[in-house]
Amino acid sequence: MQWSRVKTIFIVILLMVDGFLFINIAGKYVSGYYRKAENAHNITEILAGRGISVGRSFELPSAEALPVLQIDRSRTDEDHFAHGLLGETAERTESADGSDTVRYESERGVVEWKEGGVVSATFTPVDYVQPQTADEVKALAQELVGQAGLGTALVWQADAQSASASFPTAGVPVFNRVLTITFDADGVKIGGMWTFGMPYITKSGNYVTFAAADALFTLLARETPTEIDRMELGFLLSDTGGGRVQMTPGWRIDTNTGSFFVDSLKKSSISL
Amino acid sequence: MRTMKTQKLKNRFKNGVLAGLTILLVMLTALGWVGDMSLADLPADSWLGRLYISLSYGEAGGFELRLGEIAAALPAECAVHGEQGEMTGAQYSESAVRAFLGAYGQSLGTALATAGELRQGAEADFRLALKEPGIFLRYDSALPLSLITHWLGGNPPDRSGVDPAVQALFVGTDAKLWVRAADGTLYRTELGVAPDTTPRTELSGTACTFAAQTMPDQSAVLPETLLFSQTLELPVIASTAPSFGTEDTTASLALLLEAFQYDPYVRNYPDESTGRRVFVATQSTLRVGSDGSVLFRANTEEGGLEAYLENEVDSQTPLLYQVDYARSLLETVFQSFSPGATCFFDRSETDGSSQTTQLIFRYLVNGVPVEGEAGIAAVLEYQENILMAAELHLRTFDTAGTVRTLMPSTVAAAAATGEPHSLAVGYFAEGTGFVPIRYYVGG
Repeated sequence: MQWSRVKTIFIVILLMVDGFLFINIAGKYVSGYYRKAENAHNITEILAGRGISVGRSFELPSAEALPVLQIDRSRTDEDHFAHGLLGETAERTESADGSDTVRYESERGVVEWKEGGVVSATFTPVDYVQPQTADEVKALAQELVGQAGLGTALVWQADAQSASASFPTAGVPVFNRVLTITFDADGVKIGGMWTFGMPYITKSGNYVTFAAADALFTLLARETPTEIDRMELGFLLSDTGGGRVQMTPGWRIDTNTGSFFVDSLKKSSISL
Repeated sequence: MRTMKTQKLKNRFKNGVLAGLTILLVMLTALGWVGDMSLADLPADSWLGRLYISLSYGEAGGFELRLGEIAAALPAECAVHGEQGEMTGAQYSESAVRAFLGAYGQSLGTALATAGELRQGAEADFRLALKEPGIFLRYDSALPLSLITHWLGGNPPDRSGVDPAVQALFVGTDAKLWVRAADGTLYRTELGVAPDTTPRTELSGTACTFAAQTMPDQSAVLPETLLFSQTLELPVIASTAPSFGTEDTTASLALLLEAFQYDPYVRNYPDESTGRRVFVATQSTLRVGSDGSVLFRANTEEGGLEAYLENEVDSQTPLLYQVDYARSLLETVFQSFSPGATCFFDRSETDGSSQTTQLIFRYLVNGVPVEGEAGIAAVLEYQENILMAAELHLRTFDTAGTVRTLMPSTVAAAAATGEPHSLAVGYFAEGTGFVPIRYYVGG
């Protein structure tokens, strides 16, 4: 009988504590939701006051903490990439002007790697036939990047002339890490920025939370679009010198006058 | 009987409710905790950190917590002695040395990672070892072996014993490592694996020999001195200091302030006595002079720059992290006035009583170090993981027009007299510029 009462008291206490925790957590989420909605409403009003409308499907995204990542330049992987496209006989030369540009040349063509992961290539693959449809373009582009030693888990976009490959990091896109492969009658051109190896942070805690509203007003300080269509959180690749590339969190903002990118560290809009 | 049964059912019901409410309590507490948690609270290499990263950023997060592998110092000279007796190398050329490390660095790093305890070696044995196949590196810096191993891609072994400042090393295909310390002492040890010395067709090295091979009787040079018969042609250079904060300059004060994590609108005032502009943060100051001097001082640990988190670093390897952070900081600073400027890690000095480590970086121009006081690019002072002070002497080096021809190392070695020397090349201040000179070290 005594134990039964003790249990009842425990049940009441647990019900109270659980209820308190539930209300606390629910309150936090509800108030967060309302704050976000109010914030979005205020921003829409401010934008409207400046003569800027928002697209029908526009939603002000919430900011997430993203790490500031580093990637070291890998000359070995650059070698594999160039030899994969040009053949093992490709000759490697380094520029003498101290610009850290490495050039590979064979009878098939030329590949150049520059600091900051910038690559350009012009070559004619063995038994090359210009593809005619988007599917053929994508299939040949996949075959070529496969030969160059790039991973298979890539995100592809293709039309009848060119295909572009990219891949996300930490669950978000890297806006300017894209290889564009263009197929001409004479051969293939590759251009863009690329990185090899796993990105890294040297200490945890090196994270940035950059609010979408801050990014939006940073952009509007320089640009004058009349409609904001979409915002997306991702990374921006930039050269930091010394063979290291930095991936900085940033926003891509699609407007009626084009897409713009806002860097979270520089707090400024940049063009890619 | 019926009451007993009802009582039993009631009891079971209460037990079930109690268990359910307890589980709910744990879940709600966890939800509240996780909801407030951010990555800044978790060491990324802990299991909890990895779990959080996986949940927050998708499978495995797509990034990792580790140290960069970019070397803060390159060898001034390197050579490979092949199985057939052929020997090629490179001297004072960044591109040639990088190509050499690209070909042999990984194999060398793997071999160095298996190095045992260093103990003193005999000069006579070293002379014999140099006649066998192997790989040789010589630095103009004094670097712990763990740093060199890490930069070559190896995982440095625990060096709680002897870890001298290395100036040159030779790794034989007989899996023996020979180390010449900066103070001239010779060490040796065994390796778990030998490096690969197979000739690489893509590498266009220059023919060379060791002094021990071609000048066995010349006792005035160290046996590992690399002898090239080619002259070196290097330009005379002149230096100019960047001028921050003036309109007629390309130097960006905003980038310099950003490198030290200062807000561009931080309070600042001119210091009439030194001619420097002083930027004042809550617990640190940054003084920027028109002569290229930049002084950073933190008054407290909170005002310093955190290079790494202590709980994330193996207690044996703080220097790796300190040097990597310093290198990264200097590169950002150089971006503010001269993206092409390069410097290298020269040496570190530790004061045991104050737990302070000083890192000294020196300018490198055309692959050749700038010697003397004028060549010091930066002195950075750490207290454990915090950068407390930095003294930078920012300079841009430009070719002054004339080119000087330096005598081949074979000639310089033959002309040496006295105690054993090694040979080096450096830029030395002369008049208003800097001239390249081949000179003897030690002895």
